[in-house]
Amino acid sequence: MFLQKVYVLDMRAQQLLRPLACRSLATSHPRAEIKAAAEEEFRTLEIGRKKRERFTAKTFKPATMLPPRYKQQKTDQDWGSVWPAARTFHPATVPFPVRQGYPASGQPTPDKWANAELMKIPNFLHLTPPVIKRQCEALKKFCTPWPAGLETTAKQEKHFPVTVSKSSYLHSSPTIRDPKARIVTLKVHLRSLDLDYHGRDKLLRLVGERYDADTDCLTLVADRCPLSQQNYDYCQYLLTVLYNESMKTEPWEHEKELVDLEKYVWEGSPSQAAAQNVVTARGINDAEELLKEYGQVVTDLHNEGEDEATVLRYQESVMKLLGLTDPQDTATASEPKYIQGEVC
Amino acid sequence: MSALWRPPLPFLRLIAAGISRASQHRGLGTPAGDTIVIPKRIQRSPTDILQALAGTVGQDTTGPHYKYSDDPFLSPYSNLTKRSYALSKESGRKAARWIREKYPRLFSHRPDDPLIESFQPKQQYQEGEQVGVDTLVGVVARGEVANAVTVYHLCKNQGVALPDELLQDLLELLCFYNEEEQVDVEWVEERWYRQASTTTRKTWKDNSLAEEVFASLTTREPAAYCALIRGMAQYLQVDRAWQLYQECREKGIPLDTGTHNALIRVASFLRDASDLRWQLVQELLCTMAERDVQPDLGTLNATLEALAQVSGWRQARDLSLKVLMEFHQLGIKPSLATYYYLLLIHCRDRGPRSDILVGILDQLEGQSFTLQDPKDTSFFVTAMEVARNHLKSLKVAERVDSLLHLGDNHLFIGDSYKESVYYRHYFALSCSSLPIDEFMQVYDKLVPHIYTPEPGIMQEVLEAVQTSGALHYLPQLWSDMVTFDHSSRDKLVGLMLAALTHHHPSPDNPQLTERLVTIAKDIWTRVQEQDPNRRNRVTWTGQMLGWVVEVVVRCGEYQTATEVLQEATTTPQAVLGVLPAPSLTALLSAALHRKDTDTAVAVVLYAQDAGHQETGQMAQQVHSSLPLSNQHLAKLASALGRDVYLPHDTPAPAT
Repeated sequence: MFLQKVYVLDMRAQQLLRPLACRSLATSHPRAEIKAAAEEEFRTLEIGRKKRERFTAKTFKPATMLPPRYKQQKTDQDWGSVWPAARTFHPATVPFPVRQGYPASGQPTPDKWANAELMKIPNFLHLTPPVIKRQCEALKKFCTPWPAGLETTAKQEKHFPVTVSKSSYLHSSPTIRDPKARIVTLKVHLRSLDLDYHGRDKLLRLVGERYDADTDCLTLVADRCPLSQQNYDYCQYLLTVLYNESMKTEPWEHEKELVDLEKYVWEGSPSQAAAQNVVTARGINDAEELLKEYGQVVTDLHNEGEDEATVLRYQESVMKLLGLTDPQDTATASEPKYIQGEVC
Repeated sequence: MSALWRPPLPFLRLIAAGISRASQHRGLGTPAGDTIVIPKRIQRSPTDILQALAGTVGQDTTGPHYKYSDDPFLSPYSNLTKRSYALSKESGRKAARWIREKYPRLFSHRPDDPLIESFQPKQQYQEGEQVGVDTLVGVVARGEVANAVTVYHLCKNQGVALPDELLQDLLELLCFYNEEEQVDVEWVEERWYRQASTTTRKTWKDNSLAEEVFASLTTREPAAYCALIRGMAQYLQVDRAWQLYQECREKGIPLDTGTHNALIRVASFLRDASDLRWQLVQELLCTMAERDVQPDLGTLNATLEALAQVSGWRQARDLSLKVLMEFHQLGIKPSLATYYYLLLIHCRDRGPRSDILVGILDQLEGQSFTLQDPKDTSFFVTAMEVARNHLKSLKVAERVDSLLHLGDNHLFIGDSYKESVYYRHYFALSCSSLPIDEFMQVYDKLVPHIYTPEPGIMQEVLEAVQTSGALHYLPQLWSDMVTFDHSSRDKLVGLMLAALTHHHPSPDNPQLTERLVTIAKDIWTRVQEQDPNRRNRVTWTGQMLGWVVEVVVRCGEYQTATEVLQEATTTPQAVLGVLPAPSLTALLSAALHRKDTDTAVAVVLYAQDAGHQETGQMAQQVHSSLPLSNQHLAKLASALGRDVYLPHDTPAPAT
């Protein structure tokens, strides 16, 4: 009895405490149901601890969200203001549909939303042509006109044959230092340097791999000093020294031997002696031209390597030297002429 | 080849600025007369190129401010979320700074080269530390007020002799800041969101360190008096400041321009009547002239500020113009603060209309401004307010707006409060002046990233939309209202519902009908699902429920209407008032149309409870159109009384 009374009183007290409006607007009336049940059936005797109503976890409604940004963008908007700098791809801001990635089976190519492939790669949305044009216009005030008299590459090379380049580096970090900034590269064409044959040969031996024969360019790279100024001075010094040394002829250079020769020289070679022998054996008096031609051909064969043209010329020259005639020449006109070098 | 061969000048393609030897040189083998002239490099500072490129970027209103995440889910839209996101981001930075300062020995990694001072933890001075004159010099030079006070006390305790120049610097620091540490310049969001305190209470700390330092000076230079008077005037210790001024006058100590300006600014506190205040200001100006103290922009602004404080006086307007003319003759160019005070003086609430703003705009058109006075930031807000309230002219407002958006002038908007007030005025003025379509273009441009409308402004917008009948804007406005947290305001929800009732569905706008019905249903569900424990809740009024019923019934959503009626019937105490008769009539006709007897009877019963006149008519309608069961008849009979509704030849039910 006492417990039941307490229970009913408890209910009433709680009812009074809850505000009026919320009581009325609560759609389910658990107390009313209990009350109705209590009226219809026997009243329940509650023994032990009252079961507390379990509070349902608060359902968090997602924050109200506006539609993605590209829906508000006009078609004639200024894109350079929307995407001013390099930025990871963001699907809500980019107004056009773009797909990338390998599609799962039966699925279309993944679209732009949450597409890691699109986000990983660099995009150039910040460098559309109108933006580039605008930026160039803005930078024009820092530019000076191109000097007169340096219009063509030839003129540039004539007046300024040496090119020096270095890079500076900018990091997104508190420090401004980068060790690669000390590297200085000096490039010069050897045709700009006033070298004779010996000087050129000596210079090429001195620089070795730093010379590129295809472009006739000597490249000196200096990174041995900590400052780029020092490396630049070193490059200048190096060029000076190379030039001066290659113009000088040291006494010991006369000790150059046959194996040291940079190219084949026919005069004084066994080939010359042999040819001379042939000429004298054949008893030709006026063989200067023949010998000269033969010498030229052999030199070419050694210096330029063996290919069809050089070998053919060698063949012709040898035959002339030996006084042989081409068996083809005696053939009748009716017989077809073989084309030299025809593969069987 | 000579051994002294020098290589020709290298053709420089250097990017670094260190090596620049561009000058006239002859290349090797250059024929005489063919000199190449290389133009001199145009000097530029380290950030000039970046600034030039930044100048090509305009304003984009479709996205949030740079400080927020540019994501539809993470961008803030309402005023509360904008403020809290910005401040919470900054509190993260503050937390990082706090950790750095609390545990400095954990952060020994120092990648910055050259050293960045602001990345180092701030030096704290403890009790027993050895300090010298240099420490105090450094602290004062960096403007650290709290540290300066600590170090000064330490010096005094240790008996370090402080030279007079150092004491003078310290005095100036203490007077300028009133011995309070300012919010660090680094905390931009806090500065942006803090309210400018406009108290007229004295805040100067009497008999504290500044005055002690002043007293401890061995020789009282004029500079010391100037600093102290200026500090006292700034923090409204007017009596002492005036006392010191009199003392200086008697002793013949020369005071500088800034001191006189400070005194002019507080002259209003020294006298009560308007003409006496102006007299005092004139006296001060005359004293300045006698002593040959050159007036400057500060003098002009202080004089106008004094006049603005007596702006009720009839002569204030003429005097202000005379002052302006006189200073113009002295060659002092006015700043934005000058124009601000002019607007305060001329465009008063209860004064005659003045077109001075137009003249000011003519003067300022196309100019870029630099900050010269702290009150410069108040100009644009006041100008927009004048354009809205005083002149009521959208053209003037647009001129002010274009001036604000010119170059770097946008910095003169001041802080977030001023910005919101500025846009509020502009928005409200556009709402009242422009046709609805053009206004909605302004709305699309500004809302939600530049400006989020307050409830009052939203109310005006809704009323404008309702008046013009452009109901196709209502869906957008409702979704914005939900985003900005206006959906818990009774008045706005009511207005929205009232606007919805103006829509008449027709075959050529089914989409609009559907969307408007969605709004009504959304309002219904939203209010029903409100958290009962919330403080700001929408309470249904009968009128609002009636509107809901009207809208949904008219547009064909019968189910919701029955729910509403059920709610109204079962919990009448939750609804203020009763549903009005027209909505009940509409619901009844819909119920009759669908042959829904229960609802029809419920409507009649509700109408009877509500005490509407049309109840009898409605009952007759029900009785004539629908077959009623005994239960229904009984209910009707008990509610209305038998004679009221039944035709005479209906037999009485068997009871």
